[in-house]
Amino acid sequence: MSQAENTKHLTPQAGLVKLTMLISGAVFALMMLIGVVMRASQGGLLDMEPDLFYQLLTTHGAGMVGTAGLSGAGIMWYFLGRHVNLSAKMYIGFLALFLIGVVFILVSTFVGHFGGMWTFLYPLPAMSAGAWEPWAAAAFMLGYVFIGVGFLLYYLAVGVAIIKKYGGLGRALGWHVVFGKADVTEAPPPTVIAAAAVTIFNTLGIVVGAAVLVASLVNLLVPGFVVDALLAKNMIFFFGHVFINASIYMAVIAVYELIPEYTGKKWKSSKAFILAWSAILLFVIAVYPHHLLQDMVMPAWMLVMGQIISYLSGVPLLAVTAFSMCVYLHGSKFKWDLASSLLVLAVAGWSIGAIPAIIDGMVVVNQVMHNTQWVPGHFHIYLLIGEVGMSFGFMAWLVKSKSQKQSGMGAMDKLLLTSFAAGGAGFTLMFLVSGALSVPRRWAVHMPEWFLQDRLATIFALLVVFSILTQVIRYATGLSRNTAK
Amino acid sequence: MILTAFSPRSANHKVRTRYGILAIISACILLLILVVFRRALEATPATHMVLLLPALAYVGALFAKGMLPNGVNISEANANAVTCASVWAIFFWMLPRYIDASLVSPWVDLLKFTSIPIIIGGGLALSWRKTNPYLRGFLQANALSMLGVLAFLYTYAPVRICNSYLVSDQKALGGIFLGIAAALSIYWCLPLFLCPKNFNKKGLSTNNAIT
Amino acid sequence: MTRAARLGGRGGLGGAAYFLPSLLTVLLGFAGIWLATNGLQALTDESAKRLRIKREHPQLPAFVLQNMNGQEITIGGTLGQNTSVTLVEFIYTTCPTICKTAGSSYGQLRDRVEQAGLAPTVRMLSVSFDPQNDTIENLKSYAELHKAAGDIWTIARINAVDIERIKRNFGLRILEDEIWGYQHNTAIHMINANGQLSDIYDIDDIDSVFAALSKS
Ligand code: HEM
Ligand SMILES: [Cu+2]
Repeated sequence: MSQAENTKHLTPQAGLVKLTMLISGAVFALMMLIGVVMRASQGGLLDMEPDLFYQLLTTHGAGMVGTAGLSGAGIMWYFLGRHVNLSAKMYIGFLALFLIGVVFILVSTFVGHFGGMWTFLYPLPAMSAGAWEPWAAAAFMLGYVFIGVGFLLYYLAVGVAIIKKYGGLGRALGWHVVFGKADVTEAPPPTVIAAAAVTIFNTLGIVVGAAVLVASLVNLLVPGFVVDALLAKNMIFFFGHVFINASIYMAVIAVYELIPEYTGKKWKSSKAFILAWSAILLFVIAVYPHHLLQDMVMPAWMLVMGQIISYLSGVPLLAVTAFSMCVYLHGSKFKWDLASSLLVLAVAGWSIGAIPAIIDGMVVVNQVMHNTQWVPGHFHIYLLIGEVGMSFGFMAWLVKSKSQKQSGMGAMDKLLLTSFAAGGAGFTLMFLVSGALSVPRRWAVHMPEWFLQDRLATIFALLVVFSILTQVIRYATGLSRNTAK
Repeated sequence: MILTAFSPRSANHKVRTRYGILAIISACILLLILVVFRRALEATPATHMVLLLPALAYVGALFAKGMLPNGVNISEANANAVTCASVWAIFFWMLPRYIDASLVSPWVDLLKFTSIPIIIGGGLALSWRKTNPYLRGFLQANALSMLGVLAFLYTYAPVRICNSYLVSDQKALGGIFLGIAAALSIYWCLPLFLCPKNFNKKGLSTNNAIT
Repeated sequence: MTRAARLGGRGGLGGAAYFLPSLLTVLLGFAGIWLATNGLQALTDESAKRLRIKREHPQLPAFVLQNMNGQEITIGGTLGQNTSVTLVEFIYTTCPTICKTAGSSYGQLRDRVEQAGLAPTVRMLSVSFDPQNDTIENLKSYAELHKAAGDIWTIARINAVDIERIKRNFGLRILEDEIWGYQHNTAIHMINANGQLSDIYDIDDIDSVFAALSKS
């Protein structure tokens, strides 16, 4: 089949992806509500026991990161299906395991009162000081194991399909174009390059994550098996960082595939594009194992270096994506509707979010800023405005009806977009302001001096929640309308 | 590694038979060597787990290849099952309890010298290539993770896992597991990056897919 | 066959009949492992041994030991002693590492036994399995070091001829170590009033030992 033919027909598993996005949207909304409650409680607007706060924070962190991964996986599956043959059964297996994992995590936090944070940093889960039973910690980690196995199936399906079509991962990454004699026209489409790169590093992340999870589980069952805390921390850090990055890198495929529908110009894989994706791969794979293998004593400079590079690792890709998008938008009759605006906003959010991340990555700043709300500040920018923006842009596109296609933006669309953008910007800005004022992160109870930002952030967050909830409802009704037709 | 040895791909029948006989002879010799030197090989956990046990599996693989040079006609569904059985056997022989027991009880030792060649070596030699690629990938990824876990625990935990072995040897074994995990990941992943020779732009040609 | 051809030729997943053989194997395999590990409780030789002892309470033959004052004392056997429970840990006095920490947790246990008024019914022994090197003087100084007065807690050594029988009956594994001398199981062996080996505990698990003593 030729490329052109390929992109025309939709994924055979569009229904599964639509379901995935519905689940993702609903969970995003729910977790955001939890976020608002936490922020309000920090601002003294609600009276909440610290124990409950930490259970909520754990649920929010795990739930958000997991859902970001889920929605990213849905997007990638949908568009990759335009280029390669994907196995529906493997996707069903992935989705089922993911949902089982979610149940474990919810039971662990809400029934077992687990509050050891989404990072399950050893030895915290095993040392609850009575706040939760060991089984709750075990259930939490088992939930992660289920989700991890689910994602492993997902990437196996993607990897096998890509290799079948493109011969090898090297070709799928476009290496025959930049390192071989092949012409740029023979480069795989951007979606395939992105999918190949994400598959490689996230599989690695999952393998490392599984190892540290199982070791931590063994430690819970047989406390004699002491775990090397420093190594465990490194592995968790590696896994978490890779996983969350992967979710954005998967979601950005929606930009590559959908923006051309609006500009009428195909998003082509240039040499710079190929190199940017290979650079990501190198940064993620080559820097971390090095940083991991330091067994006993971890030199401080190494941690810092690892951190800088990990933050920088987003930059080449970002530059290529954001830059290309500007070029494509420029001088084309771009149709602004809710979907396209959200996608453009998301790329902007992703790019802007990288700036505070880079600042935080600087050694001097890091010593002051890390562990302040600067950190949730920067990652909420690229997760909330970036990843979530891309997901909802994709969802809006999925349920777009023929008539809307002509009409562009309605009043409601404008309201939803504005409240998401303004709310998101204000909410994250308040985190950054608090961070600059040295307000620590992960504190259930705040000092009255910090209340102002906390309360303003709560108001901004409510705007976001309003927009997201409405969008989820519109998506659900859109789906039922489409299926009814 | 085990699996590609003596696979007489393009050879004709006669050559295959010759290879087969050669394989069986080498298997016998290797088995004899292992039986004779088993006490020395079992002296440390590293040589026991990393030399003796894989070598026993290799013996089984050689026997299987030698006696069935053309492989067996087995469906993918059954190949999956055989592979699963082999994996369980591997799991069993990773249990410290039975490693310990095989040093004390001749019966368990006998079980070791028979079950590993037959179930693990022979089983995988005949079934692995016919196993579903998803299952293979899944098992490979899990093998890497589990080797990582063992390395993680053995190199650090002060728990003596085998009563027959010293803690310091256990530590060394953990380090070796880590090395094996690293080597295996390269061995398994590098080929995925390369493009096979028979690849053309229309997709993979399947005309030489003789199984 | 090339990898490409393998991938090209297969990769689909069939129906229920396709999964059945693997599913059966997975279930059977799991059942096998479950049986082989006493329901995943005993993955190591040591834990298997402890499970067995807890269940079977094997009778110990009588062993005559020599204590730090040179007197003969007996453990095991069916004749019964005037105390109801004997706790035994095996040591060698020149041990630079584990036996030291073991000694201190043993000391804590002794204090708790004393405070709880269990002293008349409990006898605690640290027994050297290395009578060649552990002279009576060595035992004495070890006792002084750990403040084992001989009332509740006594230091003793085995008879050299008994070593193999002791190892067999207590399930001890003693290995020569390249640096320290020996590596051995550090555990608290509980012998009930009938001279049966009734339980084995980790050396630092004095909470469980104490709980068991309080019950009996
Ligand atoms: C309206 C939207 C949101 C609100 C109100 C919100 C609120 C919060 C709050 C109050 C915290 C704790 C900050 C602190 O440490 O003091 C937090 C942490 C966090 N949030 Fe959000 N959030 C929102 C959206 C998101 C999204 C979309 C994601 C990811 C996709 C996300 C991921 C996280 C993570 C990973 C943490 C860190 C948890 C930890 O420290 O263990 N959040 N959020
Ligand atoms: Cu010792």
